[in-house]
Amino acid sequence: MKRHISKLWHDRSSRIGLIIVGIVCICAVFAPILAPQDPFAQNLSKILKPPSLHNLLGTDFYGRDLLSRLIYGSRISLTVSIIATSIAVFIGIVTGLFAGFIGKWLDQIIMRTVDVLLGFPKLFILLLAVGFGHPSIWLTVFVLSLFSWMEIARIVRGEVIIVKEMLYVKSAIALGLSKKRILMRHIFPNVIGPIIVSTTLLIGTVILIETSLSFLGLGVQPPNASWGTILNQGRIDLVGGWWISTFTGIVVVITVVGFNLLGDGLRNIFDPKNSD
Amino acid sequence: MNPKHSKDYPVLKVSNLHVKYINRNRYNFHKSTEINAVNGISFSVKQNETFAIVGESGSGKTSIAMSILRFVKPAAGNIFFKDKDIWQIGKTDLQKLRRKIQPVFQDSNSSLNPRMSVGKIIGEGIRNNRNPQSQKKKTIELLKSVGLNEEHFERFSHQLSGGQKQRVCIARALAPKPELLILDEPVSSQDLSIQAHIINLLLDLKKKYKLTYLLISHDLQVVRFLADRIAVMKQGKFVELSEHNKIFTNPKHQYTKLLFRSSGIIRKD
Repeated sequence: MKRHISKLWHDRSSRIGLIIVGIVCICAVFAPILAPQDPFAQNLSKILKPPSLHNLLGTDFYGRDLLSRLIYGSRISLTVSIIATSIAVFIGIVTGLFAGFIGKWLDQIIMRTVDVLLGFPKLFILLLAVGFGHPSIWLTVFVLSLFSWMEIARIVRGEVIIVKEMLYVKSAIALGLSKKRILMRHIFPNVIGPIIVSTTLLIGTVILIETSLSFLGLGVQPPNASWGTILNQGRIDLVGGWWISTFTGIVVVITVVGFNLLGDGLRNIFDPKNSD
Repeated sequence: MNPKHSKDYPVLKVSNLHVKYINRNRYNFHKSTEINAVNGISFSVKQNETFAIVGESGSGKTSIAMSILRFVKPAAGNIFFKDKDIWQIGKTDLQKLRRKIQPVFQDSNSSLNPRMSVGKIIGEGIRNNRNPQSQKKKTIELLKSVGLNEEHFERFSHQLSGGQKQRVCIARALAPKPELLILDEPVSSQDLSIQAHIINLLLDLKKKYKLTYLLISHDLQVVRFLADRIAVMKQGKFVELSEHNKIFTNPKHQYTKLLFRSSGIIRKD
């Protein structure tokens, strides 16, 4: 584990990813300490002020400090994305393990379902699903996780099929071990690497989708501010206050790039060709 | 005397075994092709004997091993372990039976779970898992009997050399107290000095634990050291089956002679 982290640190691009993800996570956890001002406090004397020493990234239409709102926004964006990704990964692991290990008709059912779900344009389905319900954080989480598990399931299934043919699995079968034990002790631990990689990449994607949903007004609702919500409000004031959308957009881009860089770095580590 | 206790009573009896692989054509059923890997083979292995099957790659020797281990279902024929047909027994009996027949594979690298320590790998085969103390003691005993020791207990497979890995594989195979070991090219991936060590180890273990070996190899030198009886296999069939002495001094079949000549065991026919 320690070896892995130091390896991540020695690769330049994954180090950048690690730093970005670290900063975003610290912002989310320590938001009340780090935010210079109250993100909800309206100050009507300072409406739409451009970036200055007092408001580093300027203020919005209600005179709220943008920097503070972004820091608090990272809390919601990150929480929603991480919870949604965790649920998606869990569903993906369970379905992928069973599809690969049991195979036959179960494999057919699960993988054809995955094919069908992957065939839909994701954002369209999300809009439809959210549109039918009452927009809220939990609905966003639910919908995001329900439509993100397929790639994980596919990866896990593929890995399980490879590992299942390994001689150590054959030896375990020859020892007369139970199926449950073979699955949990011999197969699952050997497919974790690719799962970690795709999870990291998935978080980036989910952050982006969450932002899109909130931007369209179907995700997190005001006064709670996720990055998408802030972006959307910035759109209305784009002419009078360019800094709102611009800085928020930059933050989203940097975060997603950070997660992707980290994911690529992890992929290099878990690639068997690079292991020593 | 009960024939089951006689020395010549077969531990393993294979009769008229056929193994087929079907190459399915997904689009045209009629274009599917069949490969007859094993084509009507019969033999029996006696208690404490080493029975070797030699042949070039693709001759079907590993397919026999895979059917005996219940990994590949035979197309026809029966395989008896003692008096049980291993493809006909129930689930609970199967668990017990599996423990009596243990494999040692050629590729020791992929034979060991990279995420489990040696102690855990071997410990899994020892049935009494409830008492970790005695399990550890037994594991270390096994490690010692294959020429390793306590310091290897906590190691992972990437921390072992090729020869050590194969020793761990042998120890794992011994853990459930088997009667028959299926050695599928047990030393082919090792270099020569290690081959010799492993061969000697296998000879010692056979005496110590009263084991019966089914050896599968293309390496005639290895077979010469280990085997009591030898079957030469070609294209899914035995072309010759004979005692160790007879086959090396007086090979009958043309193919056997060819095989021996190509490996330098006899120089001219």
